[in-house]
Amino acid sequence: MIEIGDRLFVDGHTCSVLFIGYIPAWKDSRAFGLEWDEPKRGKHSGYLNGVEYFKTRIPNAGSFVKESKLLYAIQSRKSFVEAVNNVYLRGLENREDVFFGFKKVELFGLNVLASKNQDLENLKYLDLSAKLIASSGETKDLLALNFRFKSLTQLNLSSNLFKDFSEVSRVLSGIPHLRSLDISNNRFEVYSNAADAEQVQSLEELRANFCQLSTEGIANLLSYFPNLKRLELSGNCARELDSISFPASLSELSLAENCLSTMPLNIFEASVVRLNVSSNKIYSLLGGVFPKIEALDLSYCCIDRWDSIDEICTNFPNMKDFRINGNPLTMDESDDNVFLQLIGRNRNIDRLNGSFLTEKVRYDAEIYFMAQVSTQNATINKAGRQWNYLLQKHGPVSRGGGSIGSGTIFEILTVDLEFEGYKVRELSMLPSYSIRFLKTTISRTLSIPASEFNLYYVLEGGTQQEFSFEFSPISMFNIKSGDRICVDLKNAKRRSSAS
Amino acid sequence: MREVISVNVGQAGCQIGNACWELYSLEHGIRPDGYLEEGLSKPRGGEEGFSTFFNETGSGKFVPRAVYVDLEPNVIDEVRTGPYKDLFHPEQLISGKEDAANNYARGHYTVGRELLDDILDRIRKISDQCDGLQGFLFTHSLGGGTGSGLGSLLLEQLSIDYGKKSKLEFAVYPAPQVSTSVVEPYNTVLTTHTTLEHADCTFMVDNEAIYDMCKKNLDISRPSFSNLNNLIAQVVSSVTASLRFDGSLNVDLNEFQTNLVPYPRIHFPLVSYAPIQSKSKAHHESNAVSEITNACFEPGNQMVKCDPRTGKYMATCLLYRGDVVTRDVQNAVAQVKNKRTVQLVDWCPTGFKIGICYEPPTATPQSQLSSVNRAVCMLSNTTAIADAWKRIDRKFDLMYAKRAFVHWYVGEGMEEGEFTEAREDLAALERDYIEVGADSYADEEEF
Repeated sequence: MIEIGDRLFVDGHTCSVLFIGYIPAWKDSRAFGLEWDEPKRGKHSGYLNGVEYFKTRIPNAGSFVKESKLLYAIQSRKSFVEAVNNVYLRGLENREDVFFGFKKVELFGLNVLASKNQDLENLKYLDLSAKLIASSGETKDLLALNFRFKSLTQLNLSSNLFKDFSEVSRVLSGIPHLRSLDISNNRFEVYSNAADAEQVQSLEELRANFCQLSTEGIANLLSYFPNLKRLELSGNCARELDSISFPASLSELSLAENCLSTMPLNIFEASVVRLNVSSNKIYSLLGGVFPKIEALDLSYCCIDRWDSIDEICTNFPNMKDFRINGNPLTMDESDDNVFLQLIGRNRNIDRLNGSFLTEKVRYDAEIYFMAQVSTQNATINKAGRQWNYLLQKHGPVSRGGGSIGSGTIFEILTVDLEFEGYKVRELSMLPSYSIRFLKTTISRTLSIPASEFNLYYVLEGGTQQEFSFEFSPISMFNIKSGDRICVDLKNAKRRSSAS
Repeated sequence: MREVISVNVGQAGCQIGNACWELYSLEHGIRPDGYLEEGLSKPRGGEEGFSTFFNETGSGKFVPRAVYVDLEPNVIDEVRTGPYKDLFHPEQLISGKEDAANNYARGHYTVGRELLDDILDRIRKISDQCDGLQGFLFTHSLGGGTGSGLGSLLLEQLSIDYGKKSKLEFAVYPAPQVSTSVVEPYNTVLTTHTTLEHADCTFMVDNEAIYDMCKKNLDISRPSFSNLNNLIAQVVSSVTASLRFDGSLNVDLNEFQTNLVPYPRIHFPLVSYAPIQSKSKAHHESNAVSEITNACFEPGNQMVKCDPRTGKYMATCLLYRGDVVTRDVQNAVAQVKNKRTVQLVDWCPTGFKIGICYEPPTATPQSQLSSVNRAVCMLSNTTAIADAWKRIDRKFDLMYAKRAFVHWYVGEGMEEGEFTEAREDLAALERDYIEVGADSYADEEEF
């Protein structure tokens, strides 16, 4: 009735049976060695008093349980046929009404819904998620049932107790038009598709997330479904997928939460347009050009260099939608800087981390990025195409006066400060400073109260001109770098004029 | 037979309108040019449901029963040149030349009033195409000038012209994260005061709540207006799903009122929606009925920031969409019942109702939302939503105490008395909420 490898649902946790037999501690009862899917539920790795009874895949995820404790779990396993009967065909149950205070919960439309669900011939979607299904059922019943699924296109068998994919395959065999299948959260073995086993030609979408599939298992699984368009293989701990050949029809692929360290290069052969490789260990995008990809999700990976980002432009020439949040590179620096640089380095994308990029955002970001490069806060290959593109679009940006474009914003004036005829020091200031602010700065450097001196600038001929308007910006006075600014004490002046 | 006319006012209203009509078209199988998708002989959703929102012309083209109104041309020009330009009749798109400058008074009195006759004329034309007009669905913001001023003016006028036809509102509540002006509290209070007796049911959408959902659930680091609007459209689509498809609850506009509004002034149901999950995280969720039902009671899925645990529910409607089985629904409700936080007031004529619409939701291609087979939208009239009014009233008071910016309104011909009148009305609204939240039987037990 129960065998090694069977899957059980015990007290809210799923587990696999790895050992059936006797252990010294329990003389009167058979002991079952289990490996829990939730490793924290386990107590050891299959060792007990120095004897190895079984070996868990994840250390300390196993424990022994008496047979009596499992009887309910063993009995409550269902077949596909039973589950369909229970969930869809049994109709409305006479449940007790639910009350909130004195108020009864009124349900509308449930009768219609129940009759819709019983009409298996016209049912499009069958959801049997988490229904403790472990097998397909009697062949006779299964054939009779599958015969009725004339319009069924979507089947959800996630979070069940299948131990062998061949059982799932048996379920699928009778359904003619199935397009989408969800088998996530099952831990089954997939053996290679024997020649007589039927392929499911109609299937376009397969979700097999968190199935702990090995690379070989994935390859075997794919051999059942030659015409897939969407494939999800997230959370399968795959380290490399290079030996797998994806169906040529594949256009959307999700490999999130695996252990990949490089981009899967074999998606070349398939026509993948949308690729999700988030939460992997990818640290570099080198290695290939992916002209077909339009959407790439690289969030929560290990990208930590701007060079890698620059590769994107060359390696993903047609990418529009890009996600890179949660990488070391994008977490370190302040949010704004990273966001704007990312846009500045990618001329193609129109969606970044989910935000739509308007033309104005792009323009601002590119100018910002060019300014960052010109002040050496960011580096980019100046011979590269992206930089050339930026130069062509916005013209060169350089520091100091006389620049084209927005360069003037960053202009800093450096002038000589003279006190009573002698050069004291050089003074740097922004043209937007007010005269009043400049005076305060000078008074602090010279330790003279601002009220006790006058400030002059020297015109080309050597004539001194007073800064007349206290609150005007310096830029009003047409000062250039290298000009001289003179400070004269008011008292001194009065004295000199008196003499 | 039971037609609904959508009226989108102001920048926010028009942009949300765009997102909504894009979604409606996808759900019903209408191409951007207004004709049926290939392979369809009639639009999805059944004759009855479909005709509430679309009008079929003689040539087999489908035209939305909608008007777009804005005082400045930019936003509506985007509709005129955008991908859905052929869906609308040019007469449905009304734009002025001078904007409302974030000023309620300009939208309501000066600039807006000039456009009023024109708009009412167009609405009249659309209503002439209806066999049995049910009412109107307004989309506008509370904080902007056009949305608040012109929106409330239109609501007033429609009350006069169309008598007791239902008027439902989707109103965008201002938030500092995506604020465009400092006078948003003024506009919000003024427009709420004006529309309080004209709108029958107002679904508020708090930009801050939507913004947080985009950041947390959809993992969008900098949500733009398009991101927010996409999400809002998904919610609006779920609320209106039972009108557009075969549904079992709220199949006409009046039912929203009978199911949700115990007193005419207490007409601000809180909307929650689940699942809100990004495409890149879709593999984590199983979207079991019990999961999405529970999510609806989480503050993170509410369209207005408030804490329902502190308030009481007067009415609750759960609207499921898509593939559900009866057993799961029954189980999910029993689970909700075990949550101690859901308290219904005992005296209220409205109750806890559950309805099902059999069509699953759709996601637009650019949307960050993952496409799902089922969703649930909860409309609940809870006293906790008074928090939203408290917040905006406080901001209003801070500015009005110093009469800041009031001259802009007075300059457009408004009287200062209207400010105090509006503020008093909202204070009364806050008191109303306290009153309905109080237990009625407490007094009866004491002699």
